[in-house]
Amino acid sequence: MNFQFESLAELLAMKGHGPFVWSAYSISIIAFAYLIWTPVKSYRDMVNRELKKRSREENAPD
Amino acid sequence: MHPIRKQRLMMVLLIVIFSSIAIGLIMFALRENLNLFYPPSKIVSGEVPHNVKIRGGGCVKPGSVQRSEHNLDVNFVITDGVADVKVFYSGILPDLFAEGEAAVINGKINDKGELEASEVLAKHDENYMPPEVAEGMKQAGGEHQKTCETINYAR
Amino acid sequence: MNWQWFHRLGSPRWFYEKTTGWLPWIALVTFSLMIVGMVWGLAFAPLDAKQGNSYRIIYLHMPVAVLSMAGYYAMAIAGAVGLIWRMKMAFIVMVAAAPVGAVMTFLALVTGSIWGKPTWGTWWIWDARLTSVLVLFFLYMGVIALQQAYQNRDTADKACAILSLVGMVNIPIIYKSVDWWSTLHQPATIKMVGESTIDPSMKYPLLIMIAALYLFFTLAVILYTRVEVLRRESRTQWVSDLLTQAANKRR
Repeated sequence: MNFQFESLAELLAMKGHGPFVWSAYSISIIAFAYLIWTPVKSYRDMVNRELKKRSREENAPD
Repeated sequence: MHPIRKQRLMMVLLIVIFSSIAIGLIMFALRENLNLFYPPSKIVSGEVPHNVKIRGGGCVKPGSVQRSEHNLDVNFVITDGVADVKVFYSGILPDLFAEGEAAVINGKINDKGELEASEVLAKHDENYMPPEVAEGMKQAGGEHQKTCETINYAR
Repeated sequence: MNWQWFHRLGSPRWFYEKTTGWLPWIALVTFSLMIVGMVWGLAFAPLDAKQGNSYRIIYLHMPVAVLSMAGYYAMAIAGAVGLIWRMKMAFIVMVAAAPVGAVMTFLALVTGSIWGKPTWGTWWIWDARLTSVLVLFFLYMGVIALQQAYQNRDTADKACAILSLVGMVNIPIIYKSVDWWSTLHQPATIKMVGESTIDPSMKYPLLIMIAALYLFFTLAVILYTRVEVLRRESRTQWVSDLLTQAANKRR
């Protein structure tokens, strides 16, 4: 098993196929990040709503 | 299992079975139309309408590719081992287009039974190997895609 | 046979509390495998004799395509379990699997399209394989839309489960489409029976990526399931306590 390219520039260029290969990988990585981030964001929103609800209760006049 | 659950299980199975039968019948009715392209034997036997846009596909016959020296015109023969069809095209061919490889051609059959192509696509196979391994196979006599290799070109 | 585990699995609370501890471990293994697979596939696997470097897209394309189909089975089976046993948790998993499966299918279509341009010479063609995968994408979207369409959650769950089951017939069609009809797409490389048609030096990163994507799918579905559990159980004491605790920590 060897590194298949002479240099980093060649790895990026991939003999002309670089734009295709790298765009496929970047789109996929963005999509994977989206799948992890969305539920984490929903959870945070739930906790934030809880926080807001509490501050409203605390500030409410007796 | 509880009888009511058994009943629900039967419902689930019925949904799966009936939807499969329904889709299966639709596909049976459409069977020929689901093919992407016509093989050369069907084009030669006259099953394919002339002067309308159709797709033909087959293996590019080794030694048949003739390129023009002045422009992008190219002609070649596709075959499925039973019949040959001559293809005329003017344009850039995909990188993977080669003799002994499969191609899918979009175009019209003219009155002479030749395919006047408006688009040529390369159909690659499911084999992946490093160049050294491919070189070794070439020496052993297996150079082209498997589907195109079994064809007897020397007819 | 002891059915206790099955009933426990049916408890949203048990699932939520159990998976809290699992998450970092699954994530660690998933992302390690993914990084190893990607780096190996991109830089260390030899280039293909015919396709050159463009074939490196296979290390993403095939695993996401496998998961788009396996994920659909997971969603449909969860729906069936929900319909038969009226198990809350099964419907929650079904609803959680839909967006993850939809993204996998979307990626299979997009990476396939990007791969198609330099090899076939076109981004898209209406052959049996590509079209049936597009149908799969619409099935996932249908399940997501159906979930939103009903006010009543029970009705929505049942409708989604039935749509998933009806759509299940599409999976064997996708798998066999390249053998049944003439297509531009090539037949399968890794076969269920018989030898694979990929050189061993290129196969290992592919197997690693398939394992990574299976784990990633599991991880994403667990995350979506946990949020859906909190949403559906929001009126219960344990969820209220859990959110209060989290809010306290945040201050």
